[in-house]
Amino acid sequence: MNTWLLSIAGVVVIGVVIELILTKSTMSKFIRTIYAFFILLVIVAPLPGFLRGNISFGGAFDYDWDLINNIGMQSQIAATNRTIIALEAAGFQNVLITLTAIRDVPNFQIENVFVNATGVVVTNDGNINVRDEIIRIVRAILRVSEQQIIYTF
Amino acid sequence: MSKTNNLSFRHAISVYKVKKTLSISNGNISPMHRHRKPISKARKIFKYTLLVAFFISLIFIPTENVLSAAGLSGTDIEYDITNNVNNTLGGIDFGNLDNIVGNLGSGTLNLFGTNNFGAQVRQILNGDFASNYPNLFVAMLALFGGVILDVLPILTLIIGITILSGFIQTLRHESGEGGVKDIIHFVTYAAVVVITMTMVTSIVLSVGNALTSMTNQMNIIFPILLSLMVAVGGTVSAGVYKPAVAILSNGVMQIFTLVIMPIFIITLVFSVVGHLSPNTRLDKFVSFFTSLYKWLIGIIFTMFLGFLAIQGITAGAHDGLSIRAARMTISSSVPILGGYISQGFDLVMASSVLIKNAIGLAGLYLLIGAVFAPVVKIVVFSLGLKLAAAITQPIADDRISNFLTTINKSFSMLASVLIGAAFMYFITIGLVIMTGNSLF
Repeated sequence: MNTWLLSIAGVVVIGVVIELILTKSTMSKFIRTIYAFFILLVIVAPLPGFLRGNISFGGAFDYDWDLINNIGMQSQIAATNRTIIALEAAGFQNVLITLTAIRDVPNFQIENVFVNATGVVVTNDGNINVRDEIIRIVRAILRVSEQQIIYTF
Repeated sequence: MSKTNNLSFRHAISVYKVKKTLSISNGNISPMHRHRKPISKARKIFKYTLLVAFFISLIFIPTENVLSAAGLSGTDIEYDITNNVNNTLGGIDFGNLDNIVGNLGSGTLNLFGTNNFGAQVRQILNGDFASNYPNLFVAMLALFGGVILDVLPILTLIIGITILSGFIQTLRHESGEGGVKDIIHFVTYAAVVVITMTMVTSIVLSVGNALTSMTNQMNIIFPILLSLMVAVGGTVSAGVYKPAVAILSNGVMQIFTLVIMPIFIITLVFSVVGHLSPNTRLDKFVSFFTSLYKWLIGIIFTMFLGFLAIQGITAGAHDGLSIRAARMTISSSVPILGGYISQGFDLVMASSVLIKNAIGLAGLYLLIGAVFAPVVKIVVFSLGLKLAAAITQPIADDRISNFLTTINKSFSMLASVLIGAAFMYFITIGLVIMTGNSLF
């Protein structure tokens, strides 16, 4: 395009110079008319080439899956810690919680929760069913179904 | 009345407590007397025992105190959020954005406030950005002043040459050929064009750089923002904005760079060439390209902003509803009392939303930094050209003042390209920031 614009400017400048040089006569009118057509040709000639040009809209970008995985991993760690804190507050010490989650999907999804209560120490008094109570707390914190909890004692 | 009667009357009063109560009925107040019977001791004891038993029994009603006791205090929450923010920020690479910041001019860098994009994000997260506003205004004024000082010598030169040309035209012999007049005009015009075009070229280049910078910013910032939106559960919103952002950064900006800017340059060149000689008439070409430009800009703006407005209204609501519905569905199936119990990773989500908003805001600052300097140059130079045209009109050839006026009109096209692109970017990034906030 730069070449095109420079050629237009150059042709017009030459035309002005010719106009200055030419004396007023019958021939000068014809020369002016022909030169005007010539300028028009220079202007219009490259336009079909511009119209054939293509503009690609490019590909859509993809999400930053590393970032999504990173946040998912933090969520997994936070959920595990939160569950352990809740269990300790309820009087169940030394309960091991392991989450398996699907992180490479748009939403962080918990698959299974492995509750290892083999070394559990119950510090609260009261006649309670330890297994049921732990499962209830885990379900309340993590919002999973009972089928997703794998309890080992 | 006899003494006996008085005594009995007093006795009646002491035995029976007369309680006067007022009752309001249908807006009328009327006194009502009530007689209260004395309560036996046994009944009193029974009443108090029931009350005590009730309060004691409240202690043994099973509640979720055990879980709420495990709830986090305000300090814990703040600590967790700070940790989560630091961990998430550590996983984001701001290297490319730092390069863009580094390519800003020194005056523009003062607008942004720092030469590091990550540092600006942290400043926003800490809430320190408000203290930068006085520096921001000072930087803007300094930039303005710098541009005026750059433009002033050029305008002075243009006005000086034009005035000289006017004097020469006045002093030449009247009987001289018209060719001398044309030559004087040609030389003067060429000088004015060369001087004007140096400034115009510099401004067009800076606008081109600003458009390229905006495109690069979009290609870097939007993937981060939409990924954060996806990570917090806004999948529908992200899916809605993904094509809009792709069209903006790849399609619209390409049209601006490859079609609109060349149209502007064509009108500029035709304006310059058309004023060289009265026999070289290209003003209708200029008019055609100007109309083409206006139609293209109007269609692009209308279609893009209309699409974005419609999608933006519904995107966040859908995600927010589905997240809240999921919470309600699950919590109703779990045998608990009470309301919301944190899953633990909601703080992670909240910190991701904070980071998303901070990055979006920092991106807006960067946009302003990239666009402000070229806009100021356009405004100052455009006003200067108008002033020069006004000064030279009574003195010199009309063609020179007409040329300056035409260039000034062309600059309005350039300004609309830059401001329009910045506005679309601004609206899109604002919508992305606002949409993610409604997910909780």
